[in-house]
Amino acid sequence: MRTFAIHSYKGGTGKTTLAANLAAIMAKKGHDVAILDTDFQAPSLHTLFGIATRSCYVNDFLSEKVKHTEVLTDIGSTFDLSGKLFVGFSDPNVEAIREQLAKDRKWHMQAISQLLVLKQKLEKEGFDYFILDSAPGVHYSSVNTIVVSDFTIIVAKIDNFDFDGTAHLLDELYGPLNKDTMLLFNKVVPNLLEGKSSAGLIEMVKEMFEGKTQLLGFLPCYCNVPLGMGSEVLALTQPDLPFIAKLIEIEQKIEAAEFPGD
Amino acid sequence: MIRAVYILVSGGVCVFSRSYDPELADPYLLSSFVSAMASFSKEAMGDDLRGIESDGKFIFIADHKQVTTVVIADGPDEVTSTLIDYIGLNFISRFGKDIQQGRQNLPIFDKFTEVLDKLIPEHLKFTDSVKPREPLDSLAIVELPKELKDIAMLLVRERSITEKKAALELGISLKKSTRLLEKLVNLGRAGRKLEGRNVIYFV
Repeated sequence: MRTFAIHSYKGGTGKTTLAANLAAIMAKKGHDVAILDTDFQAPSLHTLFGIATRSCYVNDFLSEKVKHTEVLTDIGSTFDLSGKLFVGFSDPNVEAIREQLAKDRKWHMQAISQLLVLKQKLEKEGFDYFILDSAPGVHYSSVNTIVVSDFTIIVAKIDNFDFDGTAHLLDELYGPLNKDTMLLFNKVVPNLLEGKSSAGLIEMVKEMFEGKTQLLGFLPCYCNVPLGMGSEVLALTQPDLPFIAKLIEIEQKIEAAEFPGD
Repeated sequence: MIRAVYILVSGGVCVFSRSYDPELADPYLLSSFVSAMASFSKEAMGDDLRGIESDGKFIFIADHKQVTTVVIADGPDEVTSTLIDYIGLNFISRFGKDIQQGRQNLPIFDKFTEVLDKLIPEHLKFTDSVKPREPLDSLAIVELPKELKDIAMLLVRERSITEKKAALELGISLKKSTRLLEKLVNLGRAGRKLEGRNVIYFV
């Protein structure tokens, strides 16, 4: 089983959309996939999958109040996917978010322990991929997901905030952890991916990140994604969109990726 | 971690012992063993014995003419020659005359316990129960040396583990597993306690 986190320096890079769609693409291919929303401060996976209220959430599993089987919902059977698609949602209630913010280091140690236990259980149950949709930046919850993962996909936008922030993350977080990473640029203005601009962009990215991470690719900004209003997983509902075709290419690269630690 | 210190005089007689590990073998039995090994080494190889590795423990020996200082520790790098010489020479400076006069069974030697406890840095002393000083969370794991990251994650997942189980899970030797777990204890990120005859490491 391969475990990866989807992380970014800043919010709004499209992590959750990418995580959910990649999970769906993998499950459609016949892989057994589990995906967990670990962005406790801004949960959103439930909106994307159109799930209303739940009786228990990832928060409860990390607090050792429920078993993993109670938290993971099988979405795969609803969409008639070839593989399993199990999703764990984070509690979107304001009270739960507030409570989450007050958790101390001891709780976060318990949380990472539970994530490691879950990883072990999913592996024993024969899952192929375990995806952690992380909170952005450097918080306990995001560092927990990175520590648990075998590798991380860093999602960034083409701007100097993300360039500098991502470089810092690579030097000061992934580096000391000896974690492999792949860098995916999302919401790229299409003009930047044409002709001379494209070559210049690739050159600039190489100059900044070569030797520090693997470049996974560039995803242009597609209008269909915001038009979906963040309330559908397009790989499941509109699989013929160019965005999904491009994401299938990215998924193939992830599947074929080899890391020194493998 | 230092588990015990023995001072032997000629003939291998143990005149002083300080054990930090209650599970350790009887000091007099051990001193006989060390003494026999030291004599064998000198006669068979013409050299002083400086150390023995036995059952995952390291026995450091230093000959200070009047006395032989023996220190038992977990790792090969835990006891410097300076420290062992300091212990031996300190004992001689206090009790050299008594030893010279052949006194081997003086209660006054016990006073060296207090001195020794001050000579050995606190973090080097084995104690059967040590509580973690800091939680071993993900931020702590980021800061750990690379060689400790895997065992730290295993310990966090299991929450308590023996060195044997850690060795099995990570596919490393028992010696390496003990060394890495002890490093986590020294860094204050893990605790250690005795349960029966097992040493349990925990977070």
